[in-house]
Amino acid sequence: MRTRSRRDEDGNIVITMTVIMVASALIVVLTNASLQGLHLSRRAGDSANALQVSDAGVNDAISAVQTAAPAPCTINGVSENCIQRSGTLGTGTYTYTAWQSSGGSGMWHIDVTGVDATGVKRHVQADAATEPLFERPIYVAASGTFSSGVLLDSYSDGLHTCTGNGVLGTRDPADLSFGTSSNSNSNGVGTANCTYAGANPSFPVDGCATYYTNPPAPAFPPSTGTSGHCPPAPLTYDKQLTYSPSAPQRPSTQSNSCAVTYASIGSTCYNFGSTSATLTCDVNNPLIAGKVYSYPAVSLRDGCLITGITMVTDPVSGYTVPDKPVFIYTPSLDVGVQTGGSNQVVNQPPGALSGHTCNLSGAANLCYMQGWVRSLSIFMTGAVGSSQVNLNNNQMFFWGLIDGPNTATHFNNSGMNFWGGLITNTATSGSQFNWHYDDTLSAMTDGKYFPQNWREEPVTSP
Amino acid sequence: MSVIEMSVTLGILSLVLVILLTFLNQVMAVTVRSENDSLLERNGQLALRTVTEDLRGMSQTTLTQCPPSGQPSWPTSLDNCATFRVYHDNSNVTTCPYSVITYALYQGALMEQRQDYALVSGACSSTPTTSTRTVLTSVANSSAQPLFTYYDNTGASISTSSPPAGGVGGSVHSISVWLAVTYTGGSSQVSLKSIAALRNADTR
Repeated sequence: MRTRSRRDEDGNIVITMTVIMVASALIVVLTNASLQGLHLSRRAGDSANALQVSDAGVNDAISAVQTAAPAPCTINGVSENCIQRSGTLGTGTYTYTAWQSSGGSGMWHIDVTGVDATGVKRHVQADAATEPLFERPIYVAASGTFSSGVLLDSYSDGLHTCTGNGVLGTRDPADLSFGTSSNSNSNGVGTANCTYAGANPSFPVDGCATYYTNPPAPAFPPSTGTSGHCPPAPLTYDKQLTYSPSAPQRPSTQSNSCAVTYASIGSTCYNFGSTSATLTCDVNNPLIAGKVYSYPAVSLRDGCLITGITMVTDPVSGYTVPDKPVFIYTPSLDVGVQTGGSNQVVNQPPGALSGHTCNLSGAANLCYMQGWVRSLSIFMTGAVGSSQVNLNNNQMFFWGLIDGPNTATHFNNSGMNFWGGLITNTATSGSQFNWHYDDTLSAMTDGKYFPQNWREEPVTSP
Repeated sequence: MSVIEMSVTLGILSLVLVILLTFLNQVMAVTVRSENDSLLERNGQLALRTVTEDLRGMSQTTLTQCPPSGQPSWPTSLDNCATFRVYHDNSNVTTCPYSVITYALYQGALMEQRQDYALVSGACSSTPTTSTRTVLTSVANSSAQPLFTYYDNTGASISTSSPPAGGVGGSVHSISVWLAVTYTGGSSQVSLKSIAALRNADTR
């Protein structure tokens, strides 16, 4: 019997198993370390992907707020109008909520969570800001020469007529000059001004704002803060715009594809005008609600009204606005006629006033009808030198918006009263006038949105 | 099994174990060194992410020189220290709440100081404490390796010693962050760089 050879292998299995176990443990340790390192390396890339996905969500939201219809939702326990959407970028997904800011600024708040394909998340919040078309009662791009007694104030409706937003906008405060001679409207100081009534010193405007793009901001002249000029800081301030040009933007309602005498809204061209005639609106020839007029010259005279227009509530801003505003395109505008008379009224609020009188001691509330000035928007065409506005008639009353960045505006008579907004290249007044700014115009934008206040927040934050 | 056979077996087994343990020890030493280096790089990357995350959301016009309050010995140059604000408001009425954040290279470390402000009874007030922490140690940027390099909208670098009118904050559109981190033992360095495009600067 051969038993020796079997004894020779006694214990071999123990040795073998020991070696295998040690080797296996070594392999497991090394593999685990490698996998951990790989996982961490990949996570950094995944996190970067999630950030890119979140950024794409912000851009998508900014695009959506210009076109999508908002729906009711609740944000932080507050009922808001929201746009909520999900999208994909590569293998990542984003989900955002956008809701419009209260206060009528037109700004949207955006909250985006981006998720990479591996589940890594990044959380970004931003605002979609827009530029009000008429942010101020008057914006002067080149130069403004104002006589004594000029007065800018603001209102939100007939019951709130001293809101302090009668701020004169300009590109450079050195381009503004105010008269200081004595006259019937407060000797060059705004004693009728809501904010500074009775103050000493007092000022013709609630403030002055300089719009600029590239620092440094233009310096305010030494007269700033003295009686009859722009008030001191912070009522007078600089505002840096994040884009060019420095002037408030015009709406993109004019298309290059339309003929010269045509005007366009969106992609549609309209031709309600004539190549030779002057559009005259008076008590016998009203403007038609919802129409777009394009004429080489326009004269808006005493008794000019808009027929067929109704005030409605804007579903987003909550403000009262006209349902079918009138748009006029022209290089030459006359408002009022200087016939020796006075108190001509152009585009007064509907159902408001008896006769042609609108004074602060009478049915004043109706003079300050919220949103009415939006019923008539006049876009001045033509280049600098050929585009002009003439405002005529003593104590004339006018409600409307005039957008003329190339226009020379002349205040030809005294004591005129305006409700609305004016963008002009130059402004020249020979005597005093009162300009009342409708605060709800701040919600009327140029339709362009840009990101602002972008920041990352913790993923768990609301 | 005889005593001789058992002795030989144990001897061989011991030899194998010694060889294996020596090998394992060397592997572990290399692994630990590798992990330490990897950890250093990962910490550097996390520090970069922390810094760039805040830089992306900064309001560039609030970029100011150092030192921040309470840290008089921190560097003053924008090359190695920057203070700025990140606004968190969703109200459009105020610019509150916001955070004042400072990043600086100080004594071989990347430092962060953060002061948060929030609306309290209608006023924008700072929180009770200012938090200061070390984001990363073993940072050894030389004078030729600035922590921050600033670029305008054309991609040209902005001089911090003779900045353009309006200051660096008036022109900056992106910021490069450079961390030169020393490996364990101090024998060599790894350079970590990242560029943050400022989302709130004009990009149109």
